[in-house]
Amino acid sequence: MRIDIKDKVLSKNDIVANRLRERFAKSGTFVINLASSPGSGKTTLLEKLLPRLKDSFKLAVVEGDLRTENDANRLRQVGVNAVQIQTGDACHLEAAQVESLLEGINADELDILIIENIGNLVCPASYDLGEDLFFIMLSTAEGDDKPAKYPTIFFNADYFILNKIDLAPYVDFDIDRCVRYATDINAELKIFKTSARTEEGLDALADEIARLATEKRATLILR
Amino acid sequence: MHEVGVAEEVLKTVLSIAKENNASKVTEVVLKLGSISGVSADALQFAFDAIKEGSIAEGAKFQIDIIKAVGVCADCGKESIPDTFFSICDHCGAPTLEIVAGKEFEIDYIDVE
Ligand SMILES: Nc1nc2c(ncn2[C@@H]2O[C@H](COP(=O)(O)OP(=O)(O)OP(=O)(O)O)[C@@H](O)[C@H]2O)c(=O)[nH]1
Ligand SMILES: [Mg+2]
Ligand SMILES: [Zn+2]
Repeated sequence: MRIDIKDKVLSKNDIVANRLRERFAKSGTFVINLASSPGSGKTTLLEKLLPRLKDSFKLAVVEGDLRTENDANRLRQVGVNAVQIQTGDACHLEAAQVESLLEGINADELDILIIENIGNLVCPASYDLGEDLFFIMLSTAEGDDKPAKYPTIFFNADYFILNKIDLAPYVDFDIDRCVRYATDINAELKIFKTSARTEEGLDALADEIARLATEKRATLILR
Repeated sequence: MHEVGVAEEVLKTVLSIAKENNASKVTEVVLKLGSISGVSADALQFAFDAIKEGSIAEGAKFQIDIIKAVGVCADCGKESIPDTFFSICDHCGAPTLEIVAGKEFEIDYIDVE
C-alpha cells in the first residue's frame, strides 16, 4: 500500500524555534542570531556596540561556545546581562538550549536579545533559533572569497557585518570584491562595514538595531 | 548539517505514519530533497540505513529524489539553475533571481505492507 505524505519534515529544532518565535512575538522582544567563523570579532563587536544601546533598551546576550564562560564574562564587564551556553563539542546552538535559559534572563521583559552562535560557517545556517533576523559576520583576516565558499549561510542571512575593516590593507582584502560575492549570493543582504577596534561603523549599526527593535515593539501596540 | 539527527526525524515520522495505517512493514521511503536545503543526500542515505535496523522499516528502500535549485529572474523572466551565486540570472546577469525550488525537504510517500 502506498501512503502519500508530501509533507515537510519538521525537525525537533524547528518545532522549538517556532515556539520561541511565538513567545518573542508576544513579548515584543527583537532577536538576532549572530554567526561567524571563530574569532571574527563577534564578542568584541558586542562589547563596543551594546553600551550604545543599553540605556535605551532592556537587552541581554546568550553566548555560545564549546567551553569557557569567557565571552559572557567579557560582556558582564561592560554592564551587559549575559548568559553562557557551553555546548561541549557541538558546533552550533539549538533552539532548545536557548529556550532553557530564557527564564534566567527574564526574556519576556527584554527589548533586544542577541544570540552569539558558535564560531562556524556551516551548521548554524541550518538551525533556526526563533530569531527575527540572522546576522552573518565575516572579518577581513579570513579572505574576501569566503561568501563564495560558504554560500548557504550567506543565502540564509538577512544582514552581513564585515568586521575588522581596519585590517583590510594589511591582509590584501578587497572589500568591494567580497561585497560583490555576498550580494551575488543574496541580493537582499543588508551590509554594514565595521571595525570593533576603531569603532568605525558602530554608530550606524547601533542605530539600525535600535530602529529594528523599536519597530518590533510597535507591533505590540498595534495589536 | 547533522544528517543523523535529520534521519532520526524522518524515521520517526515514517514509523508513526506506518503505525497509524496498521502496517507491519515499511518497504520503501521516498524523500524529496532540494539541492540547497543544507542537507547532504549521501550522508542522509548513510545515516538512514544505519538507524533503520531493528525497526519495521529495516528492509525499506530509501530513495532520495534531488530537486535542483531553480531561480526565476524578475528582470527577464527566464529560469536559471544557480550553483553558488543564487541571486544572479544566467541569461541577463541581473541580481534579481528569485529562488523558486531547491530548499525542499519532505517525505514524498512511503510504501507499506
Ligand atoms: N584589528 C581588529 N581586531 C579585532 C576586531 N574585532 C575583533 N578583533 C580581535 O579579534 C580577536 C577575536 O575576537 P572575538 O571578539 O573574541 O571573536 P569572536 O568572533 O567572538 O570569537 P569566538 O566567540 O571564539 O568565535 C580578538 O583578539 C579581538 O581583539 C577588529 O575590528 N579589528
Ligand atoms: Mg565570542
Ligand atoms: Zn534575467
